[in-house]
Amino acid sequence: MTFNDEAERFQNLNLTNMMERFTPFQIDQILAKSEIQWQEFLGLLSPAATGLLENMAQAAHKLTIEHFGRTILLYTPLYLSNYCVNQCAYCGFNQANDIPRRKLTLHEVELEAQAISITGLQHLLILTGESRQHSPVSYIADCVSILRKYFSSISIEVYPLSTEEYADLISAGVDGLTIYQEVYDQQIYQRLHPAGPKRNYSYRLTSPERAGDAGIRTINIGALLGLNDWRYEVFFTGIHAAYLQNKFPDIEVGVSFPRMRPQFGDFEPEYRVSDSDLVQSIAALRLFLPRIGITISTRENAFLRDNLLKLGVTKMSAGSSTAIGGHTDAIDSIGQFEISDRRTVKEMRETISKAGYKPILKDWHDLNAGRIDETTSVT
Amino acid sequence: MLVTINGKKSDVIPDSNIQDVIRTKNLEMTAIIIDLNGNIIAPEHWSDTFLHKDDDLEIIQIIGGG
Amino acid sequence: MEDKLKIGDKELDSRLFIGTGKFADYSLIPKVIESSKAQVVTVALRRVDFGTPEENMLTFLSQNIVLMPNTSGARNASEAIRIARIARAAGCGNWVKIEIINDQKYLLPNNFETIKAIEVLAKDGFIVLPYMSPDLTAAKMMAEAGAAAIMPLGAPIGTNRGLKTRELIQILISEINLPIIVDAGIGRPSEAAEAIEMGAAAVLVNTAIATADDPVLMAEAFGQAVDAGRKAYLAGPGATHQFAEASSPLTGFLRNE
Repeated sequence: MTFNDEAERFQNLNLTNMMERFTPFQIDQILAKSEIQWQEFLGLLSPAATGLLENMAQAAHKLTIEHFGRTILLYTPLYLSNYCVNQCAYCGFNQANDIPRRKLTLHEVELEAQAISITGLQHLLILTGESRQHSPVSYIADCVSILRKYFSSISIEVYPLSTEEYADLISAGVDGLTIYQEVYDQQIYQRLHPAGPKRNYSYRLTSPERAGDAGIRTINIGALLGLNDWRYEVFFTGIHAAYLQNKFPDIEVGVSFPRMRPQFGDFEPEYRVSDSDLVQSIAALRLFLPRIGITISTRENAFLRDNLLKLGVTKMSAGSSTAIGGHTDAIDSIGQFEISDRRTVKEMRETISKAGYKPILKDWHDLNAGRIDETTSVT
Repeated sequence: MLVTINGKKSDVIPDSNIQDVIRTKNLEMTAIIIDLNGNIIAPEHWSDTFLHKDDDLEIIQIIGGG
Repeated sequence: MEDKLKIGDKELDSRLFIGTGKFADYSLIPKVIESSKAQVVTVALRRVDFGTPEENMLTFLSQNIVLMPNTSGARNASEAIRIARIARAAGCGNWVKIEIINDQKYLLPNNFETIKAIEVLAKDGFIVLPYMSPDLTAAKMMAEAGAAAIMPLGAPIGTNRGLKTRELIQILISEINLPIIVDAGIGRPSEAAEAIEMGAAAVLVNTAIATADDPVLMAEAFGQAVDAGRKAYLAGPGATHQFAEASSPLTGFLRNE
């Protein structure tokens, strides 16, 4: 069984109707429970729960501190290539967009790595567009073998791979996978992905499981908020994460809440997702899955990020650039989307400390992969 | 002839059957289970099942337990 | 409303299982079963002690009772398997409570040997209910091996200390898709009610009833406590508020939106 089967079961339910039936009284009762099931998670995403947002936030805050302490893990994205064969309506790297295309040479990858590692960051997320011609798995593996010298954790956010390909990248030094389904609603998914291999909804949906079978250590999923009713999308993200947690008890599962940002092209998100909606999403997910990692990226502005810090978030990007070569400023290129929080890593670390939290730059070091740590002498 | 009965070496008369053993032990016939060398012997076969040297006989009963 | 407990081939009305050990006199047992309305009772197998033979336990139990022989005395999987097969051959039916103990100090069960025994006995057609130390991984393996229910201990056997393993049992209730039956440790009806109220499918009680001053009255109290706990579970307890009034609001920043 895969999440395809599970998702189908839920897609057959009228979730919108079910959500509308919740009353504030019921939400109050859900908040009193020490553990909640999917039906109650749905309740916390319902319109009735919006009136109890402060209570939800308090509960989410308490649970997060219980499980994670006052910590925020920092990471940064590194874009390797913007060649892409897909035509995602909302993405700056859309094949149909007339933008300069390039990919980093291995030398440039090393320069970017050096520039990032000076900031102290040890967790890296590498990204490419989908192009098996320009950024094949072997290219990603080559980049990883350079990057592993500089970073203790390397996650990939690339096109869906086979189990064997994931295994190859894991043995090259990758320990994490980030892959967003973008939109869980199948019809909207087909409409927004008119061309390219990304049209295959199921293959993308089951990618995390293939990476899990291949032995990945962390998995991060999400829905791009703004493409559909956020309540529905966050619900599916939550049950997807719960499914992965159950199927792979030894994998750290996380969820991101990427909200649509302007990018090159003229895509306007059809659905509005307010700050309050985002807060409700984060708090509801925290109450449903108390041990889940929650990521907020620099897509969101500094003011909002500072306030979200206490509501369940455990991981933030910092010093981000979505452009190819963006960390060395060697080349000016167009990014995948616009960065909203432009603070440096140093500024982010200070902000987090000031809020009474501890910025974490490294929480993982792989002793088993046989890599040689520069600080350890090998005899 | 030496056989093992409930874990203890016991001397029984050669050519004894199970029924004979039960009788000499004064046991209530309906309350016990007989296991000979790992096989349960049904009550109707107790009189035609003969013991051999080194047999392992378990005489078991059902008691209260939690 | 119909609310049956389904285990294996049986549908039960009562969620109280009763152990028959430690009773001063077997003749109490039918009265205890009657006053508690229990439908499942455990029995044990022992080698006959030729010096002091006991009465036949089965003559005290009516035909419509579900017998659950335990494998007490077994120190490993193969002994438990042998005891289970003897019990079935002796007409005790196909239910078995696996109890494998090789810790004579605390009498805690051996989960590893228990998993091995479940595998063999489930394939052999038994309805297997393993007594175990509440551990999620072990419980998952037991479920996979073919257990019909999982029976975690609430406290070490015979101690009457109550639901000491509450948090761990709660996890089993949430994560394991089988009836969870709290076995061992429950000393009072209020603790039985608590276990059922939190979602346990049933409780197995022996010492607390057998050693009460009036076992028949205590058995009745347990029966009622289990019923009350089940009703409370089905009714869904009301809200208890942990977050009465937030001193520093976390969502105040949204007001300008």
